[in-house]
Amino acid sequence: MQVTWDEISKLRTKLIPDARLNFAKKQMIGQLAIARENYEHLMLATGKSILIFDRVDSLETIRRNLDEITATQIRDVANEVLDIKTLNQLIFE
Amino acid sequence: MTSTVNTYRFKNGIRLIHRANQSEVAHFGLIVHTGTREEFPEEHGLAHFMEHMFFKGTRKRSPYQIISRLEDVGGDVNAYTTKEETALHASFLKQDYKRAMELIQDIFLHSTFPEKEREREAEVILNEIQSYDDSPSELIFDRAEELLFPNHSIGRNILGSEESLEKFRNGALEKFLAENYATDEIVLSFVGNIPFKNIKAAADRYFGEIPQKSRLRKRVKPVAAAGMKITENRETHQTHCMLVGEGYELTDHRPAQQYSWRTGDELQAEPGAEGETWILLQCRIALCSLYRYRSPDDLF
Repeated sequence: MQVTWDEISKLRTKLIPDARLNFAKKQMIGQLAIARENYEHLMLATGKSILIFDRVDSLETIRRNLDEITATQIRDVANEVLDIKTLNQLIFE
Repeated sequence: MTSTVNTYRFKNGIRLIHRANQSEVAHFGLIVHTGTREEFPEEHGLAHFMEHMFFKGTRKRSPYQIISRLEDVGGDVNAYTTKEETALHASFLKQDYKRAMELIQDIFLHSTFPEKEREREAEVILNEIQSYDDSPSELIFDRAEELLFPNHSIGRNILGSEESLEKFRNGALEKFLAENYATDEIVLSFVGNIPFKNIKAAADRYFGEIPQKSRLRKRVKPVAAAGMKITENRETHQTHCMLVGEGYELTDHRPAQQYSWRTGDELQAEPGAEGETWILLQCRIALCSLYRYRSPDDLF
């Protein structure tokens, strides 16, 4: 667990290098594009998108949204969500 | 690759979405905003049980006829239940789209839930529960959800329990069906090489005349637990651990809040691909799986 907390601490205190952030964005877009070639998945994902948002975002819209994300925002999100005081811990041993 | 997206809303509120492609195979699904979350405590597992019972006979079809209707032409029909949705869906050769749409309409609207099939299906699900209990790496997700949202339907597992499964008699299914599955929370989704006008006409024929129905059960916002630390002795050879906490609501559309924490093997950036309101961080070093659950009071 300590190793995990150490990694979370890094996310909350350090900025992800630009190169790594860009790589992650490209990886995400690539995986999304490949997933969309699975038409059964696409049918279900599209239906759920309409059910919840009443809209379907194009890959281009998602790409634009991703491009807006900065390393600082990621650090801020980690600080808001990955807080040791609010996270619950469950262990099976 | 698909391009154009067509949508339509019928008088009863049911929405249709259509994406064209060049494939010989087409896919159709009915997705409804009803799941485990809609269950009262005594109904634990009923949404999933209902999904199974949709395949156990209609006014005009036996269970065998339901399954063979598409299998006979090389297709298949399937279903799943989540905390917040139920989907009935089919894959088939494109020319069989009417056959598939009519079948899904029949099982959704005209299922008879025969008593002997209820007992048989309860046994099937009981085996599923027992199998799940033997898999700690899966079970820990359910336990984490119970931990995060105690005393709320969204914290309960989808399958139900041995005790709750025994209670699904005397009209429980019919009552649940009547109080959920609102028409304005149903989406018909089609992907395939059939023109939109044809799909719209078929959808209108099979689903357009369903009487309008609104949700009777209002969703209640859960309260998330925070800072708890629980260790359970499972007598396993491996240790499994999970960190779980409340995340952003689905209605938070800021890109960083939508996407930035999504890492590892569970990439779910596409809106609707997986939408939930809280996150789970599975403790595997260098492989963090993060899930986001829908806003507790998103649309209601």
